[in-house]
Amino acid sequence: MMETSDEQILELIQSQSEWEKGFRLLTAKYQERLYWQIRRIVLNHEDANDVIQNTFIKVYRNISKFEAKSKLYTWLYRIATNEAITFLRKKKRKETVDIDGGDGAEVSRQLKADVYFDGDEIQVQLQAALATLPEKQKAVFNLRYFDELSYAEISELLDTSVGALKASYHHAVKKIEGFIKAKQL
Amino acid sequence: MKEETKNIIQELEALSPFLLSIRGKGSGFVIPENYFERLSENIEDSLHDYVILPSFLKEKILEGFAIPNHYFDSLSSEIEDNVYDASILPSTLQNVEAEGYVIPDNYFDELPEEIIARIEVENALDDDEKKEGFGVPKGYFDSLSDELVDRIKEEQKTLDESNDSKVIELDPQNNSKPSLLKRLRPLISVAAIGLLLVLGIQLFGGNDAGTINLDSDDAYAYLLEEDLVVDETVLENYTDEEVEEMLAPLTDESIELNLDDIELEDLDLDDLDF
Repeated sequence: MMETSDEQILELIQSQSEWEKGFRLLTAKYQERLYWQIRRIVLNHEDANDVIQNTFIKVYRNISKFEAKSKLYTWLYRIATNEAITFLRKKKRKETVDIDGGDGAEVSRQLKADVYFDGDEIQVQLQAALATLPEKQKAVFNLRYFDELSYAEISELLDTSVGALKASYHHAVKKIEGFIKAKQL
Repeated sequence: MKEETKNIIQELEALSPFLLSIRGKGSGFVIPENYFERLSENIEDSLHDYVILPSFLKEKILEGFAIPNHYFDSLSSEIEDNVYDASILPSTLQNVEAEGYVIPDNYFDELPEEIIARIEVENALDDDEKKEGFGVPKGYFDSLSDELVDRIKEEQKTLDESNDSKVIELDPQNNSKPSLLKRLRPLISVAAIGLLLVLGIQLFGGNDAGTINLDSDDAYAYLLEEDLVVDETVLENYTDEEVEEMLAPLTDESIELNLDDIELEDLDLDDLDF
């Protein structure tokens, strides 16, 4: 089955009679990618579920503002990232628990207690190391290391030059390796 | 293998063979079974609920306020189930019940009697008493002082009858003979000492022994005695040593020592009867 193009999806969503059909196609095409982007930020499945639903409501609400200057997924990715970070900040204010920055101890604790995380100790340490990185550096690492995106694709998503992205990725790799090896000692 | 994947592997071989070695493990994150199959429906439901909301609530949703799926579909029937059958109530109260207010059982049956009882109480009080909230019988304060004096006289009479022949030496200046107070101190309580002090006031005041003229000062002294408080002016009639002795707690040892000082044949047993 041929995947519906972004243009067709947008046309359907913006029509009065077929907006539901168009929206259903949009969610089917992008929900999984967006979910994992969100999940890597918020870590917790329940939180990711909340954020992705909020994301699509926001997409629906603002679809008329999309000017097609960037790819549709780029626009969706930015909305999703923004929603996830906003969600984390609100959660941090409520719970007074910092799940990013610091020494990653809180992330380790949460992941080990999470039924929807079945990684081993190395994977726990990898996530804990990521939690210590600045937001953008963490995003670069995830998009390259896990999603296997090219620097060009990442550049479009994050609106950052390829050179800056390469430097950022290299720094992130070194930091993460150092963090995990220090924990193993 | 995708071209980009090869690039990423080569990059990691140079940067960090360690991270390359663990890359195959993935992130460790898992999801519930069939999550993505259901996610589309859940998103549509959320969107459907969002679309039918008033615009001011839509803003709240986007601020992070969420509602259960199909919330508004069942809301009207839930409200109907909770509406109280107001037909049995007086018309003035039907609206109150519908607002969710409840009342105790039989409230209106007992209410008239409670109101009447309260009216009767208020009628028994005058205006000033009503203002304060505390009521007293009429003329109470007019007769209070007379009643107090009578009571004091009665009690003093009782004391005098029991101490008719005794001599109470309370002159602190007379050291020729140990005072009865000193001799009996170990056997009497501080409250009894207070009573003697009150009597002492009358003697020092120049009254005839056994005769008590009570005025406001006397009544005050009597009240002090009743409250077991020693007036400081009374203590001025005693030396510091004597006061300390009077107020010192009694111990078995002190009782024993003091008893040694008392010749039993000298002790008038009647003196012990207060």
